[in-house]
Amino acid sequence: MTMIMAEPAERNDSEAPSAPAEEMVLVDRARHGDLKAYDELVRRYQERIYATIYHMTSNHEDANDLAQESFVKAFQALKSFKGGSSFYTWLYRIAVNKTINFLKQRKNRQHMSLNDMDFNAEHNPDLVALISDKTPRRDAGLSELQEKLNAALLKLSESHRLAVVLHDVQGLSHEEIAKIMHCNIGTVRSRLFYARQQLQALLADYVKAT
Amino acid sequence: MSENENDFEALRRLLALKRREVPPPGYFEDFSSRVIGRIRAAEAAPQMPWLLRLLHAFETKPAYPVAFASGLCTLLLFGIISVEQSPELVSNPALTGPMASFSIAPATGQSLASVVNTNPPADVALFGSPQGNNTYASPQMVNYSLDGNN
Repeated sequence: MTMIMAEPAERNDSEAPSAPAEEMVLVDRARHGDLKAYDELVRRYQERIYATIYHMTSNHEDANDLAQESFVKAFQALKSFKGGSSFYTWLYRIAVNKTINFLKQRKNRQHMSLNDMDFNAEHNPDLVALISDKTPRRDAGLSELQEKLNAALLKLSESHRLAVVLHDVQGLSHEEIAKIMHCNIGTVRSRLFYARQQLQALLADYVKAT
Repeated sequence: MSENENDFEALRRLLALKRREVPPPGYFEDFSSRVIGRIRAAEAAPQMPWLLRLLHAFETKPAYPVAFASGLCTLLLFGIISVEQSPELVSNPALTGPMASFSIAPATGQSLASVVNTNPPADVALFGSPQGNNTYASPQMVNYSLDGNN
């Protein structure tokens, strides 16, 4: 299966924080074995969980497996969910731990399955603007750019990559990331800063000097 | 920090490209049904062995392996401390009972040798009297002189 470039999906941020009561009802029903309720929870978070894992692994097949396994594991562990954090944060933690364990095992295996793209995206004005004619990006196709971007991300440690993916790609706040990563906000900021520095150096040819 | 954010603005715009990487249309339509299918299959499968369940618990809750490792370290420390203290236990007759409490140090002032009689006197029961008087016999030093004066 190949990935395509498309307009980013609108993130419905109101879903998770604004309906905790409704969500807790679903969680409670799922905890008692109601698979319909759990199906609803999966539909709510499938795209975000999948996207996070995908950006961490840069591989669709791995992301597909890990996302499904994360939801299965979350269902099996629902009894241990005490509601101390939101279901969303708890689910994210499971997915992130699973992904990090997987990445540690995969350490030496790096492959990209992202070389197929929808080249119509090159007509997207935002992307065209990104490929400035004053930098070497002029000569780089989107495919190459995408590969370089993913290769650079894969060079970061898991914790640094996760900070960048959750903040700069997924758009999560420092507070949310701190809860997911089980660390304080200062640590998140520091990891983010260090990761960006590294990425800046790795992608120096592609990042337009400001 | 906002200055840092500005420093990385170009990088952030580049990273925003990642948001456009999405699976083909329709991928998420049956995603939840695949998850539910896996849950049903897992429920129908035979129960995992305890070791696999333990590993599963470790994976789900990072606190478990930490607690497990801490427990192991505590046990190890306890073991080491116990072993280090064991010579004191052996040398303390009050703690080790009558069978092991003897000394082979020669009695001073004796002509040839002295030994310790480890046999209890006939009128002292080693393991308590039938009347329930469980006082242990304390070892008594008996000196044997071999100089022919006896």
